[in-house]
Amino acid sequence: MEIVEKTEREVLVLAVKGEIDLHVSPALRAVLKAKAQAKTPRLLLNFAEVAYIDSSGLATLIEYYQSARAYQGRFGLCNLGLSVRSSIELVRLTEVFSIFSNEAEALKALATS
Amino acid sequence: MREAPRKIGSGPKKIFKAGEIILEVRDLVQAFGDRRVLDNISFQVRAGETFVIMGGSGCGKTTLLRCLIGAQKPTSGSIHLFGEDITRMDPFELDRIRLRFGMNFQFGALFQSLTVGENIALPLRHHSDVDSSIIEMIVKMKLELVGLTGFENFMPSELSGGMRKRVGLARALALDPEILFSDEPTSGLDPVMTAVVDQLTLDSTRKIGATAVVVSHDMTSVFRIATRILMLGNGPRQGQIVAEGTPEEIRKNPDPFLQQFVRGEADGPIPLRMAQDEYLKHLLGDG
Repeated sequence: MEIVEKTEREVLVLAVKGEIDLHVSPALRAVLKAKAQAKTPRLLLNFAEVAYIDSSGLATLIEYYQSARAYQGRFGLCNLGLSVRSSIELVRLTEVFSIFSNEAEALKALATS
Repeated sequence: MREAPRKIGSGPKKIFKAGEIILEVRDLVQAFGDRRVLDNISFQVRAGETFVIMGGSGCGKTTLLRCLIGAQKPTSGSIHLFGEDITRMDPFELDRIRLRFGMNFQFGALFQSLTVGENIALPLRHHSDVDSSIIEMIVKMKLELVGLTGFENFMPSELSGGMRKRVGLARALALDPEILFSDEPTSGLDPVMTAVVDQLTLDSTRKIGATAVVVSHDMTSVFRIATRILMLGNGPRQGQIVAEGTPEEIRKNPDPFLQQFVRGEADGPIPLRMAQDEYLKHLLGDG
């Protein structure tokens, strides 16, 4: 897994590349934990190059969501492929996460909130 | 010295795309003494399918499933799972393959001394380095999938048979398997729970892209979930393939053996009772 980090319109964007499975999710968790500890106010995960996420990856996202919510941080996901979107739908998390179809739309929503 | 089984996901593996052959059985024979329980079985399962194996009691479908998961070594033939022949594998190699599939046993096969949550967490704790808090969340998600939210601290003995079965299914799904093998997943469940389990099988294949191999004789369920069906025979056709095809092809297949089974009719070629002369010979010990 690779993560490319940038800041756009005061939103920290993490572009993730690779499959997020049991082997990889601890690394993603470490990154997200650091962002939560730093109380990152606005975080966007761009999943354009994530073909697959398993339950451990979803649990990692939930954990970050809970941490961010505690300090009123904003958190969004964008560019979900069919498989990732389906995985999120299957465990009924589409209402929990802020999901955007592309990065521009996500930045607009997160930057103004 | 042999390498210890690797943690899941740590080794290179071929990812099977929808439509690729993920399981191939060739000329499989399972004999116990002179009795051939499985007789020259050959079939293929493609990634993304829900492949249902059906047949009457004693036709060898559970034996076949045991062979497919490497729990039983067949007398002859080969089983290529994820492109590798598991009949030639030693226990270490089989462990590596087992991380890629889930097995949903007929009666749940839960550890009675562990809570529901601990049962579901077991494969995750054994095969991954994922943190306990993440495992707890996965357990909750899997329990929700099978309609048992909030039951993680119950003991198996506190659950009904149907609930234990669903916990078994949640455990089989814990590692997000590429193939889910299920042995009679809906037997003993009420119609609503049957529909829930069927929908879960469909979601796993249609939405997540997993493959399901299901042993069942619940006709409603079979026709609801199957993309292809394999029918095994018994009696004079013991352990042989009677028919294989899509649900539509199976419905239209005129084979009287198959049609008796699909329609659930008492009269037909499926032998339930011996012919009278054979029975009397057996009973009276003559000749």
